[in-house]
Amino acid sequence: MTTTTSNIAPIAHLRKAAMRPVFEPGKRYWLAVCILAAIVAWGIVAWIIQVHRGLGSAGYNNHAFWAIYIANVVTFVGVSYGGAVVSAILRLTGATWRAPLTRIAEATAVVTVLIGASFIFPHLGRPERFLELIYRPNLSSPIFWDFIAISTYAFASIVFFYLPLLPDLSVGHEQLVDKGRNRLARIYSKMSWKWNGNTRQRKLLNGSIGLIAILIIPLAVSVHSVLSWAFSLTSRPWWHESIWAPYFVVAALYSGIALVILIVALFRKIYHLEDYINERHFVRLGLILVPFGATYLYLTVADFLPGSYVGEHGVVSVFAAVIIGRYALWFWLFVFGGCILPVLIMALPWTRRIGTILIGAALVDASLWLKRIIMVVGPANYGRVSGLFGSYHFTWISISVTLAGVAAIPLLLLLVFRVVPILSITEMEEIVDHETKLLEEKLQSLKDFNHSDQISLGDPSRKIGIREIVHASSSAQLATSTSLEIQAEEI
Amino acid sequence: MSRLSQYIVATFLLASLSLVSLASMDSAFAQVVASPLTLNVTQPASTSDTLTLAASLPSNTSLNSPIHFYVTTKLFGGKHLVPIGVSSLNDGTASITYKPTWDGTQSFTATVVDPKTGATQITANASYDVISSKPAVSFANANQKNPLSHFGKGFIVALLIIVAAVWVTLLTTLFRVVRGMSKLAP
Repeated sequence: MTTTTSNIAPIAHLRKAAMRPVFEPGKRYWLAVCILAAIVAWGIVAWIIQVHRGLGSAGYNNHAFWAIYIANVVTFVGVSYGGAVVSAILRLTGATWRAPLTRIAEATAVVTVLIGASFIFPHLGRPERFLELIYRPNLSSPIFWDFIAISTYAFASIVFFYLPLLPDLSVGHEQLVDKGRNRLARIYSKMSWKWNGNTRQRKLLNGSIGLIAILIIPLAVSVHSVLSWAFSLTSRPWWHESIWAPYFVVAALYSGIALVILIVALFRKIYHLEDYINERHFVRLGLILVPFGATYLYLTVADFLPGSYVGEHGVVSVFAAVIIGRYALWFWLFVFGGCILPVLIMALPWTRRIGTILIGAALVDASLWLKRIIMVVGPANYGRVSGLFGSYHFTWISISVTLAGVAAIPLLLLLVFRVVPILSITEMEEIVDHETKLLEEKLQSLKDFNHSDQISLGDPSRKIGIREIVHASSSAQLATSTSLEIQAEEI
Repeated sequence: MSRLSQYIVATFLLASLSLVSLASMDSAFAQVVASPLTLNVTQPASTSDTLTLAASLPSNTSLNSPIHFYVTTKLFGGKHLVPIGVSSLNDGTASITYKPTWDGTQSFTATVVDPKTGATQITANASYDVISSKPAVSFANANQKNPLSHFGKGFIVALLIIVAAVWVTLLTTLFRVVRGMSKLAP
């Protein structure tokens, strides 16, 4: 008789791991929730004070009529794009390694688009004016189309989050009943709509997820294009560049994937998901970042180069301020810290470690926020009549509101995963089943070749059966899709 | 008298009182317009030139508060006054300079607070036609229309149809899954 020597998490543990935040959130869960909620509450108080005192209290003035809040809208809605599109593209291309990441990526997409959209309220100054978008819309205004695009994309993100969740709610329902969590079990039961995983249900669900995955990609592109056109229809130098729509889209993907890396790392750590999400996942996400980082750098050069040589007065003044003037320090910090360094970290094999990838991802998100501040504040500050620049300074109010938005991301995700499975249980199990069949076929052919049902893995004393190899390898498949090939090569 | 009737009578009285007070406010305002303050706009101007606004008070007046100048605009919705400067009286005259930012007839208002009453503003109005500056060379395609302007409403309608189609797709997909799951369950 042989024994399985694998230390990989068996498939049976998957359901437990996926439901861990629901059943065992940990001692520090509520502490983290309280701290994050306090930061969010502080931001809301700051916003209420701003409503009372006026936008000037957030540093806005005659020159800086657009500033930090619109940069936050672009940043937060942008990072949402990364979660949704990464998940959609990986689903459509059938990348099986995506399975442990999709739930976190999709939840991140929903949470960040809602937070990003909410920054419109402090940006408006007078929040009641938001209602005018509904009862007195100006159909020729890009702000109206921003509202349409963001709300459509937000709804699509919610549907895209919910549909793959549906089978897992059915799975989770059984566990909730076992643990006596009847109230949540009833909600799970209701929300899973009698899912039992039969072939027709799977076909219907997979077809619908595929349709939404296809739909969400152009939707996300449209959201960021329309956001860029909101700038181009405002009379400021640099905001009319035709490259801005694709520039915004690439920036959104770049920063969005970086945020997915950070969020996945955070939840992997706090919910001990190392058996399912390993270094290979981070490396692959990091490798996806490389072309987007390189493309963003290229678009930055393409954006600045012609205007810096033959631009009109306003454009030349703003570009001079950005490249060699008052914003130069921050701009070059973005170029090196947000583009060159992260791309090098992800591209060079010897720097592709989880720690360095996280540093790279954090640099990308921080730098791209900085870049958006420069893109907003620089041209807004430029006086078209005088040719002089005004000034804009962050205030405690604008910083508090922005920090509240940042804190709201982990806070909402902690709350979401307190009630839904953090891993895509059914999807992961389906992938394991599929890969198991393939591996069984592969190993059977090897067995036929060796004429033996026992295979030695290096040490002759460690002989294990084919079925156990299949099982262990299939479990490993959750963590790495190439482990099968490694096992087969060893055999 | 029932409680409801009492409420109706009270509301009626309150509304009547409000109307009376509004009417009295209106007549007070009418008195203010007939003021000793005069406002002159000098120097021909195009949008890039500077106007001088001079507000004067008769020498025998006791008013010596600063004069506030406003321009009337319909920008940002509704007709309202936008402050453009404050100047103190010097020999009975206060003046400011102002660069018009759009052409056409512009209405200016000068106000001064009567120190006796404290709250009453004595107002003077003046209008000036600002001529748009014209280039020395006429531009051949000055009247060229925006190429997309031909689409007009049709373009917006097309966009709205696309958005509606996306929403219908999302909602029907969701509905199909929700209904199909229950239907396909054994």
